[in-house]
Amino acid sequence: MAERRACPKCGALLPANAPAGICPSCLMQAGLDDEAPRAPIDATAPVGRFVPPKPDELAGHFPQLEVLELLGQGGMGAVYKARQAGLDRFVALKILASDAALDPAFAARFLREAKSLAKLNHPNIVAVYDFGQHEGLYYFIMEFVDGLNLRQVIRSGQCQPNEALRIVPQICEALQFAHDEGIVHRDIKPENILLDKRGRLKIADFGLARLHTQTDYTLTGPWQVMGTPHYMAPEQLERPLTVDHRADIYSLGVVFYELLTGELPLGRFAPPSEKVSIDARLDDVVLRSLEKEPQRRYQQAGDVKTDVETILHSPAATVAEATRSVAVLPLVNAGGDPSAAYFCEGIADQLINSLSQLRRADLKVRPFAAVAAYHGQVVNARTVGRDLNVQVVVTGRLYLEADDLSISVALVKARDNSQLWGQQYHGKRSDILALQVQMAQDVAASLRLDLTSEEEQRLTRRDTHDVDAYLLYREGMHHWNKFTEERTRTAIEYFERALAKDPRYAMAYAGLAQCYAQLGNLYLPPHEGYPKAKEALAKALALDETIVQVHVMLAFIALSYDWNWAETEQHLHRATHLDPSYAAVHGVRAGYLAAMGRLGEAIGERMRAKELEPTAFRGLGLAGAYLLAGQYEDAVAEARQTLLRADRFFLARGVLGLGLALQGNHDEALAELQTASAHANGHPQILGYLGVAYAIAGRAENARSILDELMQIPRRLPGFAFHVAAIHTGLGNHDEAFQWLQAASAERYVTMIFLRFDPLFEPLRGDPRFRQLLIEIGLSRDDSGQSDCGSLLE
Amino acid sequence: MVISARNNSPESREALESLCIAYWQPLYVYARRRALDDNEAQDWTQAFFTELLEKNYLNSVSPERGRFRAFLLTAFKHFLTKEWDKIKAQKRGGGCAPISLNFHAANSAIHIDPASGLTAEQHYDQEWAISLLDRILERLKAEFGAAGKAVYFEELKGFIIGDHAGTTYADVAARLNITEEAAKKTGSRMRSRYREMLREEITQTVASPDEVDDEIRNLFAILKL
Repeated sequence: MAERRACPKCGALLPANAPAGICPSCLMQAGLDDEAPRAPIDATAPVGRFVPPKPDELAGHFPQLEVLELLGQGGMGAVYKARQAGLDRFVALKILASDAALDPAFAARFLREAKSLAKLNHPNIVAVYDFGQHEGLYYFIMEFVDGLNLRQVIRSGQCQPNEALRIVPQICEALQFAHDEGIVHRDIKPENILLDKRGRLKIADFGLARLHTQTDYTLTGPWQVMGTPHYMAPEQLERPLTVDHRADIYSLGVVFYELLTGELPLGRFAPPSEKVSIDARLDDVVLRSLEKEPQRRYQQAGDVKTDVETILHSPAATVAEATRSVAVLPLVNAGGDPSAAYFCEGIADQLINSLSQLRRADLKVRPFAAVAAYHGQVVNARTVGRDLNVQVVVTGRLYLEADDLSISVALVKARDNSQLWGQQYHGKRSDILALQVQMAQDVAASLRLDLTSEEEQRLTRRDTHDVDAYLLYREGMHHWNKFTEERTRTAIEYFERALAKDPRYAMAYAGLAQCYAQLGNLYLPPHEGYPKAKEALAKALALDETIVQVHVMLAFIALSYDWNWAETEQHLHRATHLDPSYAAVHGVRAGYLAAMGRLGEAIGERMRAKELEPTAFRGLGLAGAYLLAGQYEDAVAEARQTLLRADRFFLARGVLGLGLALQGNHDEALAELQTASAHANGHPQILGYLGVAYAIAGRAENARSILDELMQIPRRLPGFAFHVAAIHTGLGNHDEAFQWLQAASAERYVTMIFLRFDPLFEPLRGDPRFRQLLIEIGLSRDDSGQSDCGSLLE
Repeated sequence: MVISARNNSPESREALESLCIAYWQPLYVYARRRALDDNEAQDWTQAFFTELLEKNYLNSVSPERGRFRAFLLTAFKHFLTKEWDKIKAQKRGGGCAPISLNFHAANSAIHIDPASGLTAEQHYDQEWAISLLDRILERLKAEFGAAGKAVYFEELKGFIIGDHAGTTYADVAARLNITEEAAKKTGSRMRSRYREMLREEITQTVASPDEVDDEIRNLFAILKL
C-alpha cells in the first residue's frame, strides 16, 4: 500500500478512501466557508418594544387596501382590519415586527414559511391570501375573522365545559391537517384561536413563531408577549428550534385544561375532573396531552379528537364491566408498630396471589412487584389507577396491637375515588390465615366474580396451615424484597425457619430459591448461588408442581446458568400454561429470545412484561433489549422513563449512560455514568460501562484508570471478568479482552448469553476467537461459515 | 426531509429509494461491525435492499422528519431487529436480488480498523460522509468532463479546499498552459460549484434548508473522530 499522505491544508493523514484523494474533513469544511457575507449588525437599530404604525401610515405601502383600524398587537407584530377594494371583502393585514434589520437570513425564512402557510387550506385555519415585503415591511394579508379569540371567550366566563368539548375537536382537526402538511404551529395559545360569530373555529399564525429568532422566546427578551412559556412543551423551552408536531399537542393540552377549568396546569395541578364536574375519563385525555416526554404524549392530534368524541358519545361505564382490572395496595400500617410492616405487605401479596390463582380472563390483577412501591405512602386511588392502568384499587389499613389484629379493606373505583365496598376484620394474630381466606372471598364477591366451585377452591387454598411458618415466610419475603446481600441472607434464615415449622411448605422453598438466585446473580460467584437455588426448586416442585414462580425460576437458571436452551423452553412452556399473565414468564422468554438473536420478538416480550408489571425493573429489561438491538435512541428513552419512577436505580442509569455513549453523546453519557457510579458503590457493571464510555469518547487514560480501579476492588462480584473484558475491548486490547471473556464464560456470567449482539464487544465480532466463544456458549454451531444461531431453532 | 415518505406518490417513493441506494455502502459498513463476518454483513445488506425495493418496506417505516442519515440507519436497524433470524432462510430459498450491490469493490475500498475505538454508528456516519463527498466529486468531475475540461478538474481539484502549501496556481497554470489569472478564476468557479452541489445534496437529506450548515458541521466533526 502506498504511504499515507498528509493533507496540505490541515496536516491530518489522509484516509485510504479520501474522495478524489482530497482530505474529507477539509472538503466538508469547504461547504461552510465563504458564505454570503453577513450584513453587519447595526447596533443602533431600535431593539425595544414594537410600535405599530398608524393605519394611515400604511396607506402608501398597500395601495390595494383600505386600512381601517388596528385590531391588536403583540410581540410578533400588529394586525389591522382592512378592506380589499377590488374584491370588496374585509381582510386582516398582519405587519411583522421583524428583526429583519438585524438578521439577513430573515427574508429567506419569511419567504419559505409564508409559501408553505399559503398552502394550508382548511376550514379551521385562517387562510393566507397574500404575503410579501415592501420597503422592509413584511406583511401577510389574511382571512378576516369576525369574532373573538379564545382568551376573550375564557375571560368572559362563557366557556362551559361542554363548549370546550365542542372546541377542542376542531383545534385537533386543524392541527392534524397542518401536521400532515409538515407544518408545526409552535405557538398554540388562546390568543391564536379565533371563534367567528357563527361559532366556527379558526387557528391563526401557523408557523409564524419560527420566523423569529430564539431570543424572542425568553421572558426577559424584548418581545414580552411572544415569550409566555405556559403553553410551550418542555422540549420547546429547551430546544426551541428542533421541536416536532408533538409540541403543538402539549400546547393543545394546556388550552384544553384551561378551557375546562379556567386555570393553567402549573406545578402539581389537579386533574380537571377534580376542579369541575366533567366526565372523569377526560382527565386521561388532558393528562396524556400534557405528558412531559413527547413520546408519552398523544402522537397525533387526530387521536385526541377521537378520544374526546368517543367519550362524548359513550355513556360513562357502569360498575360491572366486562373485564375488571385490580391493584391491591400494601395495607397502611395504622398502628405504627414497624414490626407489622411485613404484615401489611403480606396481606396484599396473599390477596394478589389468591386472585391471580383464579386465572380468569375477565380479571386482571397487578402483581405485587407493581404495587410494592406504594408501601408506606398515602396515595390517591385515581393516581394509582392511572399509573397502573386499573379500574379498581383495593386499599386497607391494619392495626396490630400486642396480639390483636384489626384490618379494614375497601374497594375503590379509580375513576372517581368512590368506594364500592368496605369491610372490617378483627381477630388474633394467629387467626391471620382464616382472615385472609375470608378477605379473598369477600373481595371476589364484591368484584362480582361468580366463581365456580373449582375457582372457589383455588381462591381459598392455603400454602401452609401453620401460622408460625406463614409468618416466618412473610418476614422472609419482606427482607428479600430489599435486594441487599445482607437482607437476602436474613431472608434465607427466615425461610429456613419456616421450613423447620412446616417442611411441606413449597412456597418457602420457592422463596429460598429466589434468595440463592439473587445472591448468584448479584453477590456470589454464580456456581455458589445457582446450584443451591436449583436444589430448593427441586424440593418445591416435588411438593407442588403448580407454582408458576418455580417454573419461571427453573427456566431462568436453565437459560442464564446452564445455557440449556431446550430445558429453558420446557420450563417456559409449563410456566405459560400455569399463568400466561405472570410478568416474569415474559421477562425470561425475552431473555431466551434475545440470546437466540430474535431481538424483535424479545423486545415484544419485554414490552408485555412491562405492561403486566409496570415497574422500574421491567423498564430496565426493555431498555436493555433495545440496546442489544442497536436501537440506542429507544434504549435511552426507555431508561429515562424508568428513572422517572426510580431515580436512584443505578442499573437503569447505567443503560442510559451506555446508550448515550453509543450514540456518540459523550458528555451526557459520562455525566450519567458518574452519577450511576456514585449510586452503585463500585458495582462492576457500572464501572465497566464507565470505562467503555471513556474508551469510546477517546479518553483512553480515564478508561485505563477505571480499569485499575476495577482491578483493585478486593471482592470480585459476579460480572467482574465480563466488564474488565468490556473495557479492554474498548481500549483495543483484544487479547486481554478474550482472556477475560474466557473467564466470564467459565464463571457462567449471565449476560454472556447475549454476547452475539452485545454492543460492548462489537469490535471483536470479526475475530475467529469470538465465534469460538459463541460455539462454547452454544450460540453458534461449528459448521464453518454458517454463522447462524437462529438455525438451531429450525 | 425534502422527499417525504408521507407523500406516497410513486415518484417520491422512487426518489426515496434512489437516495437509499446511493448510501448503501455506509449501511454495509455498519453491518460489518455488527455481523460475525463479511458474508453475514452482505446477506443483511442485500436482504434490506431487496425488502426495500420488492416489498415497499419504507411504507411500513414512518420517517420522523429529520435527518435522512439517521432515518436510513434506523430503518436498517429495525429491519435487522425484526428480520435477522429470517435472512438466512430467505437466502437459502433463493430468489434473485433486484439490485446488485458490488460488495467486492466495497470491501477493497472500505477499511475498518477494529482497534479504532469507533462504534458501528460512527463508522456508518463516517462512511456516509465519504460517500456523500464521493458523489459530489464524481458529479463535479463529470460536469468538467462534459465541458471537455477533465484535465482542468484533475489539476485544480486540490483548490476546492482553498489555497494551501501543496501547490500553487502558478504551477497549475504552467501545466495547463493558461494564465495564472485564468487558473485562479476556474479554481474559484470550481470551488463555488462544489459548494453549491454539496449544499444541494445535503438539503435532500435534512428537514429544512436551515439545517444544512448544522449537518455540515456534524459531518465535519464525524470525519475528525
